[in-house]
Amino acid sequence: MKRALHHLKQGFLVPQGVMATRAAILCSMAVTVIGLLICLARPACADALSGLPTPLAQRLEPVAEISLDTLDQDGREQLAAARGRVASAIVAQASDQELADSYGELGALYQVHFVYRLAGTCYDNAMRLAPGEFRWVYYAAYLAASTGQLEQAVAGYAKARQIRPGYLALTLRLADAWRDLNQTDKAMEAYQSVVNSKGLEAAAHYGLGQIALLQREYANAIGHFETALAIQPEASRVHYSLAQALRASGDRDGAEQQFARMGDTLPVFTDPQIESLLALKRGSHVYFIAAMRAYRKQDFAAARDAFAEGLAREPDNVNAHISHARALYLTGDKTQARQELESTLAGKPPTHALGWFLLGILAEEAGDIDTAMQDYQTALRAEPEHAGAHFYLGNASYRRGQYEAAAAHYASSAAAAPENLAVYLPYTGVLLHSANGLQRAIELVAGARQRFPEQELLEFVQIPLLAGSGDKDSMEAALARARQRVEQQSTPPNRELLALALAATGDFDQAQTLQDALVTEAAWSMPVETGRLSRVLAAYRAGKLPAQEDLFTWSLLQPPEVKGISVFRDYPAPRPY
Amino acid sequence: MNNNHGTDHHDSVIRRAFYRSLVAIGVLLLIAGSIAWLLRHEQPDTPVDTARIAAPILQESPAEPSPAVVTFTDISTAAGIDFVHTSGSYGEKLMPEAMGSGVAFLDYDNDGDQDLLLVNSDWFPGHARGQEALPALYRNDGNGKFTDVTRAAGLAFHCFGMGIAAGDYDNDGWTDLYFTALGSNHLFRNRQGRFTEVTAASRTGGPAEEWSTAAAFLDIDLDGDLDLFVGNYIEWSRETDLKIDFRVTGLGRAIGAPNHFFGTSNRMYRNDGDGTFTDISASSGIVVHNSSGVSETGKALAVAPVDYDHDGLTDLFVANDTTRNFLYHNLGNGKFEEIGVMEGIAYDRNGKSTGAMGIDSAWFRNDRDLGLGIGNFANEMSSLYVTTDGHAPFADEAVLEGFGPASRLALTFGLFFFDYDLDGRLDLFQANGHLETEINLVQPSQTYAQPAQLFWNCGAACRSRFRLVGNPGDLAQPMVGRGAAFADIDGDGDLDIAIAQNNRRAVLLRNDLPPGNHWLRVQLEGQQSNRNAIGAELELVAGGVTQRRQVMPTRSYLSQVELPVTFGLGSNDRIESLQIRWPGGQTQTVAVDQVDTLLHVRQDSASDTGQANPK
Repeated sequence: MKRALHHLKQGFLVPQGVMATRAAILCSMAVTVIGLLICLARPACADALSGLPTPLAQRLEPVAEISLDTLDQDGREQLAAARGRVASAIVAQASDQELADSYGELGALYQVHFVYRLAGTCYDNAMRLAPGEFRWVYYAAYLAASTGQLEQAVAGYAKARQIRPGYLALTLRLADAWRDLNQTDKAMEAYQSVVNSKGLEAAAHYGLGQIALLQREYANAIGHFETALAIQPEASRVHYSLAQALRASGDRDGAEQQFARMGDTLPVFTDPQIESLLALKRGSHVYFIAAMRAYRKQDFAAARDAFAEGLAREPDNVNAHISHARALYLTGDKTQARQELESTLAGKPPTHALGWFLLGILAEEAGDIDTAMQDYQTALRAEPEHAGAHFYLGNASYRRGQYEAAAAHYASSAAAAPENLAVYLPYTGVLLHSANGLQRAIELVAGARQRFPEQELLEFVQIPLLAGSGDKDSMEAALARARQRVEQQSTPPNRELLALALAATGDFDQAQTLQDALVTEAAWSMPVETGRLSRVLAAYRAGKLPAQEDLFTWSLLQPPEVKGISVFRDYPAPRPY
Repeated sequence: MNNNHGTDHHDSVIRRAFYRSLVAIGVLLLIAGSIAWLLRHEQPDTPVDTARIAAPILQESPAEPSPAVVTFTDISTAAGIDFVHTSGSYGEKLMPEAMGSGVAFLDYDNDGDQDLLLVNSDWFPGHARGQEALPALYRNDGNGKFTDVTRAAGLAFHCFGMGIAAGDYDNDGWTDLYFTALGSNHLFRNRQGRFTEVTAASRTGGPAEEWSTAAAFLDIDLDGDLDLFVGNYIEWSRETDLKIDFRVTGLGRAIGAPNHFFGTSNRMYRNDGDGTFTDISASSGIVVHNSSGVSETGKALAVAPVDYDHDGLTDLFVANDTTRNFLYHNLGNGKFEEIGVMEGIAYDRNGKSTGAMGIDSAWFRNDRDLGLGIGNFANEMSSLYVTTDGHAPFADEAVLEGFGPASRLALTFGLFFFDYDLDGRLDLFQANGHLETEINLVQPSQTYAQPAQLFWNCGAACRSRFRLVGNPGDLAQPMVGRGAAFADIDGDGDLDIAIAQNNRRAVLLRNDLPPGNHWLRVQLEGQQSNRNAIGAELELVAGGVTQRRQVMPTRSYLSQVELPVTFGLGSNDRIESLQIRWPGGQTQTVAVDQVDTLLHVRQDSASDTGQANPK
């Protein structure tokens, strides 16, 4: 310690007077401690960009460090590397041109990852260091346009045009900005100047068409839109504008045809600078986003391929694997879909309920109910309120005669997804198999009818339940409703319900008459129903109500067959990647 | 000597070193303090919300007229409006906490003054943090002061409130209230100034899992009573929201975007005339199906009822957030067909859905062309769909009319047409505010709080009809605007504004228009039509110009404006004619011999002329 102090003294002060020396030592220590505290107070990872050295601090803006944890691994690595390059250039006192390039490239990466503030700061620095460099001026203008700052965008594009007058894509972007700023004359002139330039024609015609449409020159607009489509038939968004022009000019049929063809693709044009900017975003999410876009258009092959591309970049994304499996299934490759799900979920704790649920569906489709039920149970361990797993477990239990278990699963499914009408029907059916089930079924259907007041299916189910309830008011209500239905529409199902309600209220004669007619009609129109209808008739003749199983509504109350394609296509995935 | 000298020398060296050390310490302490201060301020405790979005550069021509100098003054505190909205935010960034609530002007006690109702959200279950979150009803005392009468009026109830509809559904002369919510909705019947909840009896609560937003009372079947339209937003639950886990780079978890959630269907309740309503959503065509019979959902945030095709039936324009907007064409007999795409209001000019929030309609050119304004998300200009020669299809003319460029940066919620300077032309107002408290950290062009925007209608003579008013007083203060409404709260003829802020105090802004322009306000009372005359159209001719208005409280975002209709007359002090077309088609011509007054016009059952009673 003494030795250390000695070195310290020697290092800082000339040691002579004792008091002065002690004071000096204390001051020196204080300086050291304060220095350390300052260092600690600053972010530990502060780099040269956020804390610029003095000469540069007078010329450039610091670029703060932010959390990148929302980016995929690719994105994080890209940004970290680019930031490192800027830091190295600063430390190495690189030339202005080199430093400008590294700042500009970092800005471009921030831009494609939507960190607009830092992108703007980087471009500002790059433009200060290399004011004549086209890329950074152009990218800064493009950034301003992307964030709605059209006046700044116009100024930036104008500056970029001074640097590189022959870069024609810029003219198109400038025209777009002028159009949106209501400077239509300038916009039109700019579009006209590039309308015959290779690679820009379709977009220029589209822009001219938009201005013509704004100015209510419909024939002119139609011409431009048709030309744009002739050049780029895949620019499906143009159909919308064309439809608008046709509709406004009175051609309603033509408009309808164009509306039916509209899609999401705007005319594209050649702009190598922006293409290279956008290509920077090579992370997985760009593929996943494209996959979801394709998925929504039901282009499952494209979705499958895009998910595969994304997964090649981010192989640990379980949600994306599950979505990939869905796309595989929907392109007809069930085996691959199963393999994808199994390899994704194997050996992992049950955390991805959707994956296990889909595995269950695959097993059930293959007839392996035991495995399916195990998979559904695993899904429920991952997510105890998974509505789909409860529903299909309910169906499987129902088919196996495990009515109480089925009812419990249906109840859970209905609680988790009350908007799913499909669950109420087999749930009602299974209740009828349990003690006091009729009353519970009546209450269930009454609740469902409140939720879905216009669903006729539920009324079909409700009338027999009320008719068979033994409660006079309920039976009268069933009769009234059945009569009303027949008055509105005298269809066989409505008449069968009326016959049942009449029988329930003691009028077996009328019930027989109605039912007899139904049997007669069925003999020539629906022979397959004759047996069932005759059994019902026999019950009326015996002065009894028919068995629930003999009513046409019974089939509605049975568990539905699994339809894998609907589940794989439509079952919601809160996080598809 | 030498030694002494040497000692002295050494002492002086030490002294100098000591003093230098002190200076160094001082400098370092100063630097350390500055750095610590800077570091502390790099991560602000409060949201970055005071910066203003730069106003666009206006292309002004010196020959074109300029708006009159009008100042809106924030009188909230002076008037006694102390309502502070509770968003329920507790850190999980759940979507409902960002959407805010509505505001309504209505005369709940029939004393002739416009009272103010502010809807409130609520704390999420298990996360109550502060004071009780209730809606607030302020009675206008007629002397510049408002009194909180929430409890006395029977409105101290809890729900995660969103929107409000005001209408006399039982035609008893007292305006009733319908609150939409995240969860079941609530209908309150007004019994002589005291409200009683009648949700269950009226069967208008809707399912508990729905998230309802806009609501409108209107008479869809012209039977003389008000039916009820309810817009629904998305299928939302906290669990789904957390699972989606929407994130913004640099901010972390953020308020979810609606395109990550499933849409829902809207509801229509037919008034059965006996205090009950029947849900006719499916049979009426309000639940939309595509040509394959598959249900097509929307994400409704606002509704504008208006008879766009002059067939005497009120149609419904619905602003959907990130899905196409709907136009429910009223076919009569309680049936609708959705034809938004064909009529040109479904998408923006490029065929893209917008983040549509607030909506309003008006004949803003004082001709037969109907305009439909829609406030959109940040970096999407507001829409201004306009008919062609009085007929559909609509075309988005926001750019040509000057409204689009200046509205592009703002994230707009409330939006309405009103004639703030009483010059006889309807102007446009937008309440703005972002969803993300710290958006400015990653998007320099955006701030959480944003100034409202007032656009002056310059008329046909100007190159761009709508021009952003540069200095509208306290309207220019940054706000987290959501619902917004207008009314003449002080009886001076000009229209004042209330803005509901999210998780902040509500703002009441008095219009301090200098005297000069004349005006006429008209309040209708239906007899055969619904009592509020909702859906009636008025045509006033003054100075050779025809102004056309509709009695329609449902405007803007989740909000209701006052029932009386205000006509600005400019320098005209004579009304050439005033004609009313009541719901059902009956027309009534009213002789007006006085301006700068409020006329009360009762529907005449015997003839096509009526009496005007200046109040």
